[in-house]
Amino acid sequence: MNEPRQKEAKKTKSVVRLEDVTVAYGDRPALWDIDLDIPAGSLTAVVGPNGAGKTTLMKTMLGLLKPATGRVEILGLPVRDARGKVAFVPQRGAVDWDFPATVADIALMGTHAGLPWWKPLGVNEKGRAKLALDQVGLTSLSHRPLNQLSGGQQQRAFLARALAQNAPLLVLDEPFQGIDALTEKTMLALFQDLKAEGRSLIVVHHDLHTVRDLFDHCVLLNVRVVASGPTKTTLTDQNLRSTYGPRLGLDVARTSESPQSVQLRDS
Amino acid sequence: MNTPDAAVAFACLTAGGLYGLLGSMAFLRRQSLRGDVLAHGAWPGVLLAFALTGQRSPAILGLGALVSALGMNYLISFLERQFPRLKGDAAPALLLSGSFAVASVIWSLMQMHTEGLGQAGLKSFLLGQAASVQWQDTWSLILVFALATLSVLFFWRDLPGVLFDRDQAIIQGRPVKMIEWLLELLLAIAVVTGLTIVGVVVLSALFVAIPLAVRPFTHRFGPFLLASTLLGTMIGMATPWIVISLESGFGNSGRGIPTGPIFVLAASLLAFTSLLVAHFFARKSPKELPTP
Repeated sequence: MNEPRQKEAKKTKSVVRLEDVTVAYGDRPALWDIDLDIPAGSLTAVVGPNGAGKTTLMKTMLGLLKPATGRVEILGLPVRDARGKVAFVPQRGAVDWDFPATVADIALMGTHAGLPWWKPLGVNEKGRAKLALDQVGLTSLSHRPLNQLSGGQQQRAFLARALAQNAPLLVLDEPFQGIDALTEKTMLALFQDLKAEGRSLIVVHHDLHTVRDLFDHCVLLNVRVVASGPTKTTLTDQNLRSTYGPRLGLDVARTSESPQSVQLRDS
Repeated sequence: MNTPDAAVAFACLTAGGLYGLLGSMAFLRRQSLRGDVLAHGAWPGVLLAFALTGQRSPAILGLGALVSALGMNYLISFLERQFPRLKGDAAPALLLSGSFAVASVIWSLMQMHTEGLGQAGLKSFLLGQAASVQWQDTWSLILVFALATLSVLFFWRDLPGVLFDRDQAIIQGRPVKMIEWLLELLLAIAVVTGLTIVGVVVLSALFVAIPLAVRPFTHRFGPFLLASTLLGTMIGMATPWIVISLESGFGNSGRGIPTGPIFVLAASLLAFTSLLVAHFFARKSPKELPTP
């Protein structure tokens, strides 16, 4: 009697669960036999070298890519049913910024999730968009056209859109690209606040120093999952070596212990 | 001075508005070339429908055009899915010239067998001949325009999201497939209904020129769509007048000038002027606003 309920409770405790997931582009596997269990309420970093399949992993979790094999469960639901409950911040190169819209329009797009298509946007939605713009510091630019934004401002507009969605799970693909150090600090503090509210965040991130300091959970990825778990026990020299290769791994491991942060950026 | 036939005048202005409206969205999706494939793809359908039935009724030719245009539209997606190597404009380019080649072969074969029968009528599909437009063509254009406007209003809230960031709209659970499918169907129907006015060869230039002309002057989605529709309507209004004055200017009463190229020339001229003006203004005012 009690067993299924316990199982259910255990299920919902993990916010993302992947079992035996393999994703391939043509013949080339981008993700190989991934088993992953990310606990709810955690701030998780996904770390790995170029071509490790980090973006592919995000897209698979979001249901944009269909795995060749395996099962994906988001918030205890099949991916399809979790739509609207996950907010995503893509890399800003993913869209055409010459679109005729303002910063405020983009933030408002976040509030569409879960709203029936016939329902006009109300005070509640506009309030959420406004708050989100305030959180990322774009209030003063809310009427600026998209094609007049700097790279960092574009990234923050995307972040505002995700925040306005009010989703229990946020997935962010390199959210700090093109963002200055000060804004990055504010954003990281914001992530802590969101985590304190009980939300879960999964972030593709390159700065191992901040991962060590601020992320409680991490996934080391290189086509396979090299290691996954609490940062303290997972982000070890040996695991980094297996993720980045013996030589680079050693460099990363050594420097990441020094106060200077290490940046391994994609392209 | 001669005046254009009322049916022709209304057909042209409705077609202009329709292409402005649908073209602006194809422009934002970077799918202007798809309009070209639809138009060129309709051409073999028109010829085959005529060859098979021997009739020149707009309903039959239109049906042939629609079926073959939608077929080409599906082929683009099919080829891109099956052969990931066909990137960007490769599949559309292949299909648009491919279908034109097929149509040219059919055309030559027909000429051998039917001794020029009815070809004068069919030729108006190539470059457009508004003079051949009758009221029933005009009414079908007005109907399609009404359908397009209703569909846009219907999905008004979700449209910008789907056009700006498709992946995000899918993640948010918006009806992306339905909206995209509807836009493509409307585009195909619009292309087919307007074939007698603009013709298959130059039609797609309108999908680019009209939105391009208004883009520098608006930064919001709604005004962009509205301005594009209005500008298209205005160009459509002017086109039959230009054609008539050109014809009488050259002493030709025989309806010799095709409407399509005039339509496209007017739109392209406006787009060019608008880009020049925008460039001029951009020079005068500092582009970067101060960052607070």
